[in-house]
Amino acid sequence: MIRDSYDVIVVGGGPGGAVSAWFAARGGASVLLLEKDRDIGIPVRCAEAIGQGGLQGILEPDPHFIAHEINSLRFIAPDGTRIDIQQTDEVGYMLNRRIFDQELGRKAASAGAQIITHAYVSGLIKNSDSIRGVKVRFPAAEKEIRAKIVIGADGVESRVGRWAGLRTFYAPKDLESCYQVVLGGITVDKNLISLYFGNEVAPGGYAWVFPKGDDIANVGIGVSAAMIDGINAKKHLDQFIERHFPKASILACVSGGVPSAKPFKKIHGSGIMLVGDAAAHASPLTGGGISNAIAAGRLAGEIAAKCIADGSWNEKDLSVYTRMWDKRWGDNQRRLYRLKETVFKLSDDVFNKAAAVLVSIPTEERSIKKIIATTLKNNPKILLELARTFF
Amino acid sequence: MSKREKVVKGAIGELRFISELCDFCGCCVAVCPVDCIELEESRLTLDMNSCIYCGNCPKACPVGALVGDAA
Ligand SMILES: Cc1cc2nc3c(=O)[nH]c(=O)nc-3n(C[C@H](O)[C@H](O)[C@H](O)COP(=O)(O)OP(=O)(O)OC[C@H]3O[C@@H](n4cnc5c(N)ncnc54)[C@H](O)[C@@H]3O)c2cc1C
Ligand code: SF4
Ligand code: SF4
Repeated sequence: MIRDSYDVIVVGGGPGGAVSAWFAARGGASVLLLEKDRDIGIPVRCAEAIGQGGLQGILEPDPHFIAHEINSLRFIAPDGTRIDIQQTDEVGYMLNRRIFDQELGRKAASAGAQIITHAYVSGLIKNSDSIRGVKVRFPAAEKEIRAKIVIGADGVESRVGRWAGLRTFYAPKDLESCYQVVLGGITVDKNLISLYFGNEVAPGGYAWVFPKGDDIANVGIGVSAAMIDGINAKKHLDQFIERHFPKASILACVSGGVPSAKPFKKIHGSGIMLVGDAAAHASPLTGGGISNAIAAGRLAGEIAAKCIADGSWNEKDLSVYTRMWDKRWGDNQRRLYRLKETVFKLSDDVFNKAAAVLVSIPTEERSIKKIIATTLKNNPKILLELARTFF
Repeated sequence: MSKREKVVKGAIGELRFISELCDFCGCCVAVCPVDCIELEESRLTLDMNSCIYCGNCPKACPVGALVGDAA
C-alpha cells in the first residue's frame, strides 16, 4: 500500500534514483521511489558502456548484466585516420542496462525502499520556502504524498529542480541531442569501442559504435543542439549508417539527450537534492553519466538518511550535498567542460593533423601513458586528454 | 549560458508538434526556458499559452517532431 507520507521520496528510477533510494533506505529512512514508465530499465536510452570503477562498492561485476569487457578504444578522425588505444590498466564493460537498472532497483527494494512504476510526478507540494512532498499521477488516480526530503533523479528531462526554484535548464549548446540504433548483421570486434569525429559526421559531438557482441552493436550519434541546422541527430545517424554499415539491420532505435553542461551552482534546497542527469552530472565531454549518477545517488542517499536520523533537513543541512559533490567532482567536471568547448570547436583540419601525429606512434606503445609522454613535445594534447577521459 | 545564446522570445513564429514522430526522450523539456512541456511515459503536452517561441526545442529534438516555422 502507498502511504500518505515518507521520509524520502525519490523521483525517477534510473541508476541515480535507484541508488539514492537504496542508500537512503539502508541508512534507516522510509523511502518511496516513483518512476513514470511502466518498467525500471526500459527503454534503454544509452550506449551502455561504463568504466570498471563505476561499479566499485555498488555491484560485483556479473555476467547477468555485463555483456563483455572493453579493452580498446578507437578514435576515427574526420579524414578516416584511425587511432587505436589498448587499455591495459583499466578496462570497461558493456552493460545490459535493462538488467543493470533493474538490479539497482532490486537492491533498493531489498534495502526496504518501496518502488512504484507508472507513477508520474506532476509537481511538488511546497510550504513557504520548503518542499513538503510530491503530486503523483497514476494511470487512474492522482495523489499527494508528503515527504521530508525529495530527491530529484528525473533525468535530463528533469523538472523537479525547476519546481523547487533551482536553475537547472540546459542551454542548447549544453545538450547533446542523440539518436541510437541497435544494429545487427554486422561484423565487429566486440572488445573495441569506436568514436567518430568530424563536423560532417557529428557537429559538436561524435558518433559511436559500441559492440554488444561480434555481430551486434549500439550505434549512435550525439550532436550539439545549438549546432543543428536542419539536419537532426536521426538524419546524421542515417547518413552514418548508410556509409559504414549499409547492409545492417536495425533491431531497435531510440532518441535521447545527454547534458554536456558545467556543474550547476546549487543542487540542493530546503528538503530537496538533485542527482544524475537532473543535476548535469554526466561528463560534459563524453556524455557518460551512469557512474556519475550512481556516485551522486549514493552521496545524496546517505546524506538524506543522516539528516532524517538527525531530525533536520533544511537548506543548511542539505547544503553539505552540493558542497561535497563539488569537492569530489566539481573541478574535474569543469575541466571536462573546458575540454569539450575546445574539442568540439576544432576544425576538421586541426583534428586530422593531431591524429596524424598520434598514429605515427607504434601501436604497441600506444598506451595512454606512453602516448602522453611521447606526444607532449608535439603538443596535440587535446586528443590525448580526450582519450584519457573516455575510460 | 553565454550571451551569444540568450533566449530570444519570438525567434520562431509558429511551433508545430508532429506527435507521430515523437519518441518521448525529453530533449525538448531539457532546453525549454519556461518549462511549458510536460512529458509522461508516452504523452507529450505543450502549454502554448506559456510558450515564448524561443526555438530551443526544435533545435534539440533528435527526430524532428518539433518544428519551428519562421517568425
Ligand atoms: C543515446 C545515449 C547514449 C548514452 N550512452 C552512455 C554510455 O555509454 N555510458 C554512460 O555512462 N552513459 C551514457 N549515457 C548517459 C546515461 O544514460 C545517463 O547519464 C544516465 O542514465 C543518467 O542516470 P539518471 O539516473 O540520472 O537518469 P535516467 O537514467 O535518465 O533516469 C531518469 C528516470 O526518471 C524518470 N522520470 C523523469 N521524469 C519523471 C517524473 N516526472 N516522474 C517520475 N519519473 C520520472 C524517467 O522515466 C527515467 O526513468 C547515454 C545517454 C544517451 C541518451
Ligand atoms: S525532443 Fe522530440 S522526440 Fe524527444 S520528447 Fe521532445 S518532441 Fe518528442
Ligand atoms: S519554443 Fe519550445 S523551448 Fe521555446 S518556449 Fe516554446 S516550447 Fe519552450
